Amino acid sequence: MEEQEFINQLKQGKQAAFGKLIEAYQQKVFSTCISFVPNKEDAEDIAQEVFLEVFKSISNFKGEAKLSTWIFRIATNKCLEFIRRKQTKKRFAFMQTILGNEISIDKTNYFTEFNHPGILLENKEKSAIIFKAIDTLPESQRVVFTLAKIDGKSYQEIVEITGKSLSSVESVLFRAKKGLQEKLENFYKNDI
Amino acid sequence: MKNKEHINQQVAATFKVLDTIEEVKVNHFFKHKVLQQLNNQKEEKTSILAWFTPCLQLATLGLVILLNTSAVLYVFSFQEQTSVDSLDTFTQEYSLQSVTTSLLN
Repeated sequence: MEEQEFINQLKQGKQAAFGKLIEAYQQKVFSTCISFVPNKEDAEDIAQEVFLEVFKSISNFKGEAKLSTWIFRIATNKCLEFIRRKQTKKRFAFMQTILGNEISIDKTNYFTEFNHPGILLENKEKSAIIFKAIDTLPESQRVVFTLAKIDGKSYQEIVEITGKSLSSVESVLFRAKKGLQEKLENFYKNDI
Repeated sequence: MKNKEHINQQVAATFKVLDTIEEVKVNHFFKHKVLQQLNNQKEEKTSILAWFTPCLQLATLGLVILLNTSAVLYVFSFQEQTSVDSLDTFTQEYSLQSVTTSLLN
């Protein structure tokens, strides 16, 4: 009942309600964003976009899911959009270098500069390796794995955000782990 | 064998790194920034639409309809005239004119 009242205030465009919403969700949304995009500046920009989208689309919110679920769904979609956009740009830049046009290209094939302040210095190298491996997973596996293992969401929360069944989430997570295991094994085999 | 063991250890250590990631605190000014962006968007929206009053909207609609109608009328009248002209040229070119020029008349 209380949430419904709060949603109504948001729909009426009350600035105080928006302020409350940001206060309540800014840390969680930012954490989700930095889990998908391990770069503080990029994650902050995406988190801002998430809230702007929430304000823009709140009138379309029908209350079928919890408000938090809806917000995390927007956050996940915004992160995936960002990654797709960056990857397309990288591919375009790569084509430009092949065609001989002078566009400088980052030597790494990761979509962003790795800059995650929550990762200890001694773990930086290994983190970069696993984040790059996650980047090669199919999108559904990437979403479930990131939400579960990096963002620390519960299975129930992932079920609500992705709209998949619990058994489906479990099986996608299992496949993601297996895929990552193989990719990492291959990486270290070639590294030796 | 030793290699495989070493690889497995490396893989396990890499997975373990994910458990050690610490929470990154959001910027203190995050809320302020978002609210400012939101206000900017609202202002932009209102300033864009403010000058386009319903009266102006109606006048613009009328002007568009008038222009379209006149364009259609102009095109049709021009087409009729040119088709008659081109038919005359065609008949002259191939000597297909009627018998009015015959010597028997």
